[in-house]
Amino acid sequence: MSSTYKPLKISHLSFGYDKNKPILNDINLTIPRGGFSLITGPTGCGKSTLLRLIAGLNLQGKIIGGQIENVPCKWSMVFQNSDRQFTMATAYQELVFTLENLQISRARALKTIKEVATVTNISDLLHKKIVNLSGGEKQRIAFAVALAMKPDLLLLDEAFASCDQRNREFLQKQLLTFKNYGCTIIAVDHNLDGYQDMCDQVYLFKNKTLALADETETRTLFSPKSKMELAFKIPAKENLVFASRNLSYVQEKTLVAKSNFYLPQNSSVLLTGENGAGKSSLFKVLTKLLAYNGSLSYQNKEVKKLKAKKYLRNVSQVFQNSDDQFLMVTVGEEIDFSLKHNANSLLNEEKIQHILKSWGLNRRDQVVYSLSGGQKKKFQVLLMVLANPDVLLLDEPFAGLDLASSQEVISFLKKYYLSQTKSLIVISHQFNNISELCDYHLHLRDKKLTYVSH
Amino acid sequence: MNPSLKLFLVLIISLEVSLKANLLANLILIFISLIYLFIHRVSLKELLGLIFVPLIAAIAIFIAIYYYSPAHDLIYAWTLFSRLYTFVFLGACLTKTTTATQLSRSLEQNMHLPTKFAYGTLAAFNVLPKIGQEVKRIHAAGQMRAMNLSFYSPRLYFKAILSAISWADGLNDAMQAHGFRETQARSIIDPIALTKKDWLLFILLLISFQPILFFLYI
Repeated sequence: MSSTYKPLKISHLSFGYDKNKPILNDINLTIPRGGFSLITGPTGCGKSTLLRLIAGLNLQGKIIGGQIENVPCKWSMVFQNSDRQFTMATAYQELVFTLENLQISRARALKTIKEVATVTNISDLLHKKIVNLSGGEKQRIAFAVALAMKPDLLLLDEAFASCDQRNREFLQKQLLTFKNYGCTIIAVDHNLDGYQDMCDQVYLFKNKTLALADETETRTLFSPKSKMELAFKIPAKENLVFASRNLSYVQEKTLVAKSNFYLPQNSSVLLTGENGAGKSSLFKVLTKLLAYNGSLSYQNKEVKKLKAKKYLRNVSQVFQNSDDQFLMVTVGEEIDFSLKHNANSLLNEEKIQHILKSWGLNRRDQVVYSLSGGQKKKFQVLLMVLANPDVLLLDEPFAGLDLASSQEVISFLKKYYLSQTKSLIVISHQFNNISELCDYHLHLRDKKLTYVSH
Repeated sequence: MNPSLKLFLVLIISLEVSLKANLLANLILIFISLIYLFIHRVSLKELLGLIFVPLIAAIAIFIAIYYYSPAHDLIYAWTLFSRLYTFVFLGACLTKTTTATQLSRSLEQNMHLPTKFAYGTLAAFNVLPKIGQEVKRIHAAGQMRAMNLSFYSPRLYFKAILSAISWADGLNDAMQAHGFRETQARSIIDPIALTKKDWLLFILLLISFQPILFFLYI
């Protein structure tokens, strides 16, 4: 029997930087061929590490013991961060590169490209520069490439984290196509929405090891969360921090046209809109990284005319890609720098230490770039709250965070940031507890920014 | 012409020009390059860039040779002045009509350059626009926390290098996740033609240039 049909087997696998402090400890797992396995667990538990080990990708650290057997040669992976997904400049070139790797003939390749582009709805994006596309669009291209590969094993590392609900459902439907031809799928995710009907087994991370969830656990995991009623008001148009008249901006295409956007003082706003609508680009406009037309004023002064050096101290951002935020190398250095140059009177050194400890960031000498995806997000929020700007823009701060961690971040923002006379705008596709954080809901649709109530 | 042959033609002629001083040959090359660029509709802005960016360097060479060399040789000064422009315009003939993708695919398909090298280079090349955006973001991230990173600040470059390292890992992941294996053969979906006509043109151009370089003088 070829190894393609044997189940993927992980036996007594331990992995880490240090033998005494393993990240994964004695993992035993048998994943049947053609099945859909979902792995879930709290932020920073080593889920992504396990996927990378299965794929045989480079990792810092080493396998301390155990082994992984029967991994099919033809595997593909969809990453959370699309910077890790593409080699070429356009989707078409990426598809050609991939199919050439698999030694597909020209005639068959062109047919495949056409098919997958139609199915994943990327026909219009094939020749556009990937670097200018939105997170959700990139994720559709990633799925198009995976579909074209027809792999025996598909690994999904929080593949839907930057997708809106519509894109998420759309791409999850594509997973059925993989299942139907017998592809083994292993997905790692916190957000379990939509997986219920398609996954065959769920594995839970507990104490650095992995166990198959029993029926009760599975039922609890998928039990419909009491959907929080989103209730928002329309903010009054007074005491404005930001005000705009006929605001327009363009990135690859016109994203917002002649919109009158405003932000009152002391308000906390949720910004939503479909993938590619131009939410992150609004943040770029507000932080002077993207040019705009029309007028946009901050404290009654035109943003164009303000000096970036001073302005960005008042209007700051938690970036979607965490690595962009850090200026130092280790956790300790970042904190020391912030204590010296940034001042949030609500947070003294003692309090910071306490928070770091409760967030599992207590190793001062840890290199910030080696933190897990979720830990980076939390640390970013901490650093920017220490910087204490007047307006804080948060781009997907909850992506990659489990429910408990999101709750911690929300409480932290309320206690140490919003309790002052400050404003924030948050882009999020995850609405758990969001009404606890936000008072208003700004929606970007048909190139207009409008406040909505529910 | 086939991108690889174009590259070799430009390289060989540039090497010859740099070894043999011949003003007329330089001028003829610049003239032919200009015609070629016009045929390929190079914009006026790009053309002005090609002329003015190397101008200071060219003038410096001219002054050094004409005023400060013992012979004060005017012809030789003009030769070196025009040599710089010969390199610039020959290079432009290649870069303005060939993309990095076409060139690396041609080197892979026609010249059998190892795929690891061809795609490694190309992938790195595709990262360039990201680096531009990244530097802007790092700069803004610094300002947001009262750290002003000027363009000569070592920290800015330290961050950029860190990002580059992380991208190198990322590109490696990306290539593997999309089925690339160093030792495995690949098919060709978008073939880059290397025809008899390409070879003929290459050899003819190269041969016809030799008498110009070696026997034609002002």
